Amino acid sequence: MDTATTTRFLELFAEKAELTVDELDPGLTFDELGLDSLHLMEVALAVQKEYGVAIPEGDLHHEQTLREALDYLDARTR
Amino acid sequence: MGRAAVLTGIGSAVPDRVVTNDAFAARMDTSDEWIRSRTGIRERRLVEPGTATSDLAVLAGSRAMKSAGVADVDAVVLATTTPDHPCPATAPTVASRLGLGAVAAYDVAAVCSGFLYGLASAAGMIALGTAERVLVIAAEAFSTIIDPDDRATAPIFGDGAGAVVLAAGEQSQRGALLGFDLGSDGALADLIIVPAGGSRMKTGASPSDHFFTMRGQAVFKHAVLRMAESSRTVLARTGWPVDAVDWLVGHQANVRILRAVADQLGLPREKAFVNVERFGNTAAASIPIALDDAVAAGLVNPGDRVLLTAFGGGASWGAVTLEWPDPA
Repeated sequence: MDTATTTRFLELFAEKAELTVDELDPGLTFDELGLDSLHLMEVALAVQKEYGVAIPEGDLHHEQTLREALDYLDARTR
Repeated sequence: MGRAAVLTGIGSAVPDRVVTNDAFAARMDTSDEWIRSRTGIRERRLVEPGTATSDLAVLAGSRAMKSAGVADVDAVVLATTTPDHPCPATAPTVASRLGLGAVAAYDVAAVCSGFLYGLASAAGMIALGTAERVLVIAAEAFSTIIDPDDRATAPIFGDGAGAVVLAAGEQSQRGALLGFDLGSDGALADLIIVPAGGSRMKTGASPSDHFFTMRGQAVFKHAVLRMAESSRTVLARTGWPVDAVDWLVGHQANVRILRAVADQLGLPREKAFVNVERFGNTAAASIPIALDDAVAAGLVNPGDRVLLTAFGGGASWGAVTLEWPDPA
């Protein structure tokens, strides 16, 4: 499900990874996309700043697909 | 408001030995690309065996006094995580070697926040009238507590020293320390720790207990959030909106932490001064080394509004504001 917030999360992943949104295939894991653990932390901190919701350490992780992470963030910030 | 502590001189000193990322890649399972992408670090300066923290502190201190145009001070405050000895403090040795006579001299231990805690301590002595002029030095032979074979920490840290002279003056003067915020959270003590060697565990079960360990990802998160919050607090106390800041000179731990702090504050990333690529993380010494470097490079100029912030072991953190002074 793509909502305005999902679009924003996707932009944050792209911005922190210095990629374009088009380069981020939601079916791939972060390892496959080449995002490291600090990229995930950077996104978590940006979500915390924009939505006021803390993302616990480890909730975003390497083996996750981007789609799974977007769904998680969508539920977390709803 | 009583009298102010005014920054009147600055100096720094780093060891001659440059160690590149490739030297670590040759020794352990890491690479130049991995180190650069995670930390921004390209190289660092490391002491030769036998060189101690006081050796670097004396050099930086004498350069700061020369920059301030002074030959004596009333006190020496030394921020360090790596004193020459567990006992006594290193500051008296440094004061003595600088030929400063029987002045007050003591160490401050706040790991990477040590320089800011040292500034606050020195400013307090000046406000009380205990001292007219204080030499604040932050110096680390940090590599002496690092396991040279630990790929998680060995490539990150560097050695070096930076120092400033603070003198009694007016709050309206350029160089006056305008605002302070300091904090700590001992519940996070295990984030950044050397487990053995202190009274809790004099001798470790294994040699590695005597080396520095760090929970990197958790440190990253807490560092970003605490430095941003402390910065907001000190800006409010100073009466500066975020866009009044000309330079954010943060603790040089990791370029990605510095960028994230700028992002949290809504400050353009270009305003975050970065030199971690050349010196690595020099713990307490990083802020005065960065300031001296930024001034020498012509980036930080007289009248610039400068925000300093740090986070480190303890956990401890802080932030300080000042307008950069005119040269002595």
